[in-house]
Amino acid sequence: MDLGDIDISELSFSEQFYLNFISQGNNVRKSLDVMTQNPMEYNTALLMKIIKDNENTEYGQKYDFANIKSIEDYQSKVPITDYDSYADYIYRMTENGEKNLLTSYEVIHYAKSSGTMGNPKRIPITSLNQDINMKYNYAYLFNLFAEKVGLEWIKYPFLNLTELSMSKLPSGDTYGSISGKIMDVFGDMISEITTSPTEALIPRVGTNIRYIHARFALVNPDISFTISSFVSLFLEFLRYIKGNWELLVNDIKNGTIDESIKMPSEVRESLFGKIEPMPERAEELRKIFEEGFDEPIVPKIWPRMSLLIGCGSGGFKNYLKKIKEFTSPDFNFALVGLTASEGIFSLFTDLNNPDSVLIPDSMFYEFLPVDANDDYGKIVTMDKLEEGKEYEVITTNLSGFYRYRMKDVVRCIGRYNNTPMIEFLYRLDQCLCLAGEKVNGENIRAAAYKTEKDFGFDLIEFSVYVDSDSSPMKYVYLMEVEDFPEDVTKECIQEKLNENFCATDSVLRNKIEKSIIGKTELYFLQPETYLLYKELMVARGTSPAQVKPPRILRDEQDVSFFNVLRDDELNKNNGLNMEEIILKSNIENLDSILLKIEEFLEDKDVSIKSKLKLELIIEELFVNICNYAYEKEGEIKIQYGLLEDPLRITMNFIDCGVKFNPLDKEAPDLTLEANQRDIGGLGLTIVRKNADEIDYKYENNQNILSIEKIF
Amino acid sequence: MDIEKHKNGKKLDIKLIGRLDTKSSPELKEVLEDSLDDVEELTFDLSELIYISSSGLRVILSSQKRMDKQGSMKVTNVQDIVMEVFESTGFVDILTIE
Repeated sequence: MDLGDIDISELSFSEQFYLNFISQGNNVRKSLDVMTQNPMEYNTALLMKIIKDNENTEYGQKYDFANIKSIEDYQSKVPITDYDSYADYIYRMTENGEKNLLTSYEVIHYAKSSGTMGNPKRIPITSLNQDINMKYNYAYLFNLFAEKVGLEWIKYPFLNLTELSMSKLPSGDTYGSISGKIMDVFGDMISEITTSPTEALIPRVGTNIRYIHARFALVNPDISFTISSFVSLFLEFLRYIKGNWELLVNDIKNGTIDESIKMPSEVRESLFGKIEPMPERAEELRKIFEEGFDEPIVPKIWPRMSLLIGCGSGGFKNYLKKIKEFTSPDFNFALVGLTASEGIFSLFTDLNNPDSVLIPDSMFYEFLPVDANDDYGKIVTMDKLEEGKEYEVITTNLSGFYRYRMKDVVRCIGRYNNTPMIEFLYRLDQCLCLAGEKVNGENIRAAAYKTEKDFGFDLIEFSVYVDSDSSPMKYVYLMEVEDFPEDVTKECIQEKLNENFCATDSVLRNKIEKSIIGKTELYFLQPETYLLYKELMVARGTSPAQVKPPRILRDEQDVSFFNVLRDDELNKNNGLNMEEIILKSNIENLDSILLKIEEFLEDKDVSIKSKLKLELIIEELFVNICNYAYEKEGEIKIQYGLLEDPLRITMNFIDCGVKFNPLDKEAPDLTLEANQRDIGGLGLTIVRKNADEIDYKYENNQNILSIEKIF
Repeated sequence: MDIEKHKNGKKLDIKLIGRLDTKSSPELKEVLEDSLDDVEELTFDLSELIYISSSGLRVILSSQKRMDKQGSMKVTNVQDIVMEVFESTGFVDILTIE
């Protein structure tokens, strides 16, 4: 990227700021190219440097860093660790401000890990760690972007969907999301180069930040890129606009904030100071929205926006597809590789390419093969990774963690120069195992997305749990969907889901086929269930940007929560969960069916008048079939079920007799006596008058007459 | 769903009759927005509420959050079927139920 002869002094602060990074990026890319040719040389050198620099820390002395001269020494003297190994040290660091315990490097922040369960962890971040972040998350990235699209964008603001909230620990250090700390480098300039005001970036409890992000982004047509910690946040942002554009456009036109938008009054006050009526922009937006959402809307609203930076690997891949419905084909994605508070593990090799490469100077890597069953003797260094194999990542980082098990499982997918590339698969503490199979996030996702594709519905969110009360135990999927397909039963979707799930793992398929594990079940959830979940988590204190969809439900409480919010309508789905009675085609059996229906409706909110009308219908139809269907006696199957919204009964009368549609005016058998035919005709009138819906079909040699009666 | 309101100074009593589902929740949301401004005591009488969905729960949750700031809220005469939902979703810990 040749920056030529730009006169820096003429530029604004933010332009200088970006150019600085872009120019730095030249060196970062060159250096990465060199390092990746010979990764072990650099990775080993990094380890030796970390050991040397930390030999006088409490940890370094405990494990005799001073006498570690090789990787083998390191692996024999220093133990494999997890967070608990450091908890006491971190307590002393954060409560008492003690230094030089784990690291001699300057600790500048503690990241809050978004743990799905348990207490949030405090992960130390040092200035060296931050330097690496800057190098790769900014310099490298902006350089790639500038090379692709030029330099126009540096003049314009970006949309920031990360949260910058931070609190202070007793030691005086800051504590909060790592993306927040990274933004620190912008300092006070942050409000000038991002569109969202601090009221959304450092929100007060009870503030509707989605509205603020959307409102302030919509008024600025020049936005050039978006940063969001997970790409799903950008999708949520776009969906929010799609669902609320009228309100947003009105507010923009009038310079107001609609009463229905929740926020503390002080926040509302301070926001008023930042807005003014913008009728022209409002009109522009209104026209755009009125055109609809079939065409990508992002290039219309923000013609300059050409990049989304965020994590889109592993569980987030499916969101990219949905985002692409809103963006133009030349929109770029910088799919951040495996990044955690502990450090950057891998880096994308190019824009729009999720392949990410290990970074030889970010941390010292060790890998434990997943099939090693925790045998540490099988741990390998990065040069020994085999393509296609799965490993848990173990890190020695620049912030005081040594041989730390990340519990993230990655697969080696090839090499970039001579350095392994990886993809994130799943988290180890998010696995399920019932009977020897190992089901993880990847299997669960794959089955869900395949099923979504098979039926064409829109899968909003889903969760899975193990039903250990049933025998045999089985997996249960809960899905919130939109655009539920017509003419498809839940049973059908469930069947396909089971098939798709089995296809992800042969051991799983084997167990299900042998009924060692029960067939997978599926239930649909009511609309807005996941929104409710998120709102409850926020009400309990989790920050909105950190609420992740609960994919694997382990907590009894979570399971109860979702199960009580099943959507009865979708799960019943047109009658296959109906009750059934089979009777001989004898008029004497009429009483049996009438009694059954009477019992069925006993405790339901049904008027006597409705019940009587229903009985008339049943009588007519049953008698008709008894008379016409069979020469001698045959069987009549009667199915019945209740649907809600509005409350109604649906019934099927099924017989295997002569093909005969009782809705036709004439009886098919002209040898019948005239008076029988007349009775049939009259009876039909009663049915037609009292049933709200009548339908007939002949299928599989069966007459199927369906009726529906609203109560 | 039917909504019956009784306002008495700073007290507002709301009775919900029928089902609070995806269709009727927006109506309740609007009614609350128009009526809660100077209310310090909000009571929901749920004696005739026979069903509550996720969208209904969201409206209730947001009312509770609002009333936490301007006064108090309680929910009375909850039917078994709705109580089951409140228990399973953890709303029993958030709402004041009498």
